[in-house]
Amino acid sequence: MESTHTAPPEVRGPRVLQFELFSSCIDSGFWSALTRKKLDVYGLDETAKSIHGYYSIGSAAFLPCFMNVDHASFEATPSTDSHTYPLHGKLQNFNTIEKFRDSDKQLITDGEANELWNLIMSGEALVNPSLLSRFTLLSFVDLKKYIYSYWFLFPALVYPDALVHETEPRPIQEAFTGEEISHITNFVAKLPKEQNAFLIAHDADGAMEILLIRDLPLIVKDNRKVTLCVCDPSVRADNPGWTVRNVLAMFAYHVRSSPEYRRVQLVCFRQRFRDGLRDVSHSLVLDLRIVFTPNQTMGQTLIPKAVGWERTEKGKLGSRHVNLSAQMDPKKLAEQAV
Amino acid sequence: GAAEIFVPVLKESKFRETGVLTPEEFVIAGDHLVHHCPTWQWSSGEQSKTKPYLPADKHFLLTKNVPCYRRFHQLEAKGQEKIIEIEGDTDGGWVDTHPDGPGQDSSATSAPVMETAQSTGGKAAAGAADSDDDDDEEAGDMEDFLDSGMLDANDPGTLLPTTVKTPSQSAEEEGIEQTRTYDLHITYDKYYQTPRLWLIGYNEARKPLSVEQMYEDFSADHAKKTITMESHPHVSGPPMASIHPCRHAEVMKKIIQTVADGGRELDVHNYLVIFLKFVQAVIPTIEYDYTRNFSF
Repeated sequence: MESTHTAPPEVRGPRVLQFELFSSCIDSGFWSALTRKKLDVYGLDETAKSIHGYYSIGSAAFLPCFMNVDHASFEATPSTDSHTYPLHGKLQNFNTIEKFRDSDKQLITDGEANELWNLIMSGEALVNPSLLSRFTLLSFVDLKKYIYSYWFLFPALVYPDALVHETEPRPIQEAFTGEEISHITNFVAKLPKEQNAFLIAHDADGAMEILLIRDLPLIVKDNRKVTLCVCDPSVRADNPGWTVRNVLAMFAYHVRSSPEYRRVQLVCFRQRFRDGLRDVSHSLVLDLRIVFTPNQTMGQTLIPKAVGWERTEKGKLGSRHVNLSAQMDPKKLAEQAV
Repeated sequence: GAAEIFVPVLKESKFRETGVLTPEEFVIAGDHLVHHCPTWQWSSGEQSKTKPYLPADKHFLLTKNVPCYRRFHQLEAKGQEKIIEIEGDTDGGWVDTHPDGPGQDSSATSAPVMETAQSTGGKAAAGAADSDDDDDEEAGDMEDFLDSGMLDANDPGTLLPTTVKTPSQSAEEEGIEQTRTYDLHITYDKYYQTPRLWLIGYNEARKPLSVEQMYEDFSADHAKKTITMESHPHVSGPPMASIHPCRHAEVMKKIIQTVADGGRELDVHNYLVIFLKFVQAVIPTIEYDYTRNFSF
């Protein structure tokens, strides 16, 4: 094991895996739809409403890890296309700016942690892993000034205690053959959108079998070697995107009492279309070590904490605001039209 | 506009003769684009804005989060501007909605409807630029809504988005900080009987760009002559920037002719692929996808 006290200075100590937090991207159509909902449907009702967002695993280079909401976010079912995946959202729209400001963020975070943990423990998320891709949107709409205040939470469980890089992240071509990669790519293309994670079981003779994530307990029982694959919204060469975090938490939970699964190979699957061609070469392979606290392997069911509040433009933990009066205020529009 | 309501839906294909499309041909060309460039997808739009002449689930095409890494002047400085020139029309004049120059209004133009939209557009643009200042002020007041003591503040597993400036930011990441993004929509314009491109820009913090800010990403020659602010036909909300379609059919007709002169026939399937290629002259810094290996 690592003995950091004797290591020469140039050798880095264990490096903790970091997940790139989502950046929210809100279509102006979303704010128009919210305004209409507030006026026509919600009224003074402040209870949480179910909405949808989505993320893409095909972002262009150098872009942040985006999640989108738009005019379709209020429809009954999420609409996703060939390269986007659903995010299950809760909208809590407050009647006053004070209520928005003073809402108990810790209570909201703990509530989300509880729900995530229940989804994992009940096995529900094994059947539908996309249930772990969630957000809560707190909002206040100033209908007179056309100013929208909002704050996103993308809840992620802080579980296990840590995930540590065993080796440097590498591109997928260094771990899989071209044939294996096209096998994986074709599998992803056929997967229903609630399956944003899957498994590759490796047999002693080198054969690989791609399976749904619900087969994890069986694989662990048969003690087969396994690679965890997650559809990844990040484009970074070193980090998976935010949705990968809860999938790894679920994986860790199901292998917590099997020490031989403390080392896990993770594929961050990404694909991009350019000039009409599919490219998955920026997908990553990470070799990770799962680090538990003693309590986490003792079968105690302490609910983990959650994190995932979006920051302001200046990187602070706080709400954001957008002023659409120039585009939406009928008075201003009328003045401009003169 | 009002004129659109009274224009009958085009029924017969006039694509080869005039460069215009029927709604059916728009759908055929859209399906082809989605098949070859899956970053483009069909959208149904809002149900209250459904048009009877388009299939319910295929009202407009959209591609989201398209990067725009550099401003137009940076591209120009490097001499990388690639404009498709059509033979005998060196200024790519298809986009020039004001042949007499933007200063002269309301005369000598073939598109009076567009003219009205153009003049409101200019003022809306100025208004939007003002609002940006307002926005900053408001944001300054309101950013007091900070929460401390959250576990988020020191969670080792969280990597903050690259758009957030950190002291340890590398040179490479400083470039990333400048990345704007665009959502592009292609609708069917019933009046001009052509596709119409809409642009919704976002700054590095994902806030909507004003039209004045978006001009920084448009070709200087084309921007003010070509971009107008109008209501999206399938999504409600504030007016959006779009490339005015009044010359699209003419340019397509020229391209069809050029291809025909080369002894080949342009198929209607490829209409949108070519359309996206030629609008690139207006938005050369926005890196949307189209099949490049099509030559004409």
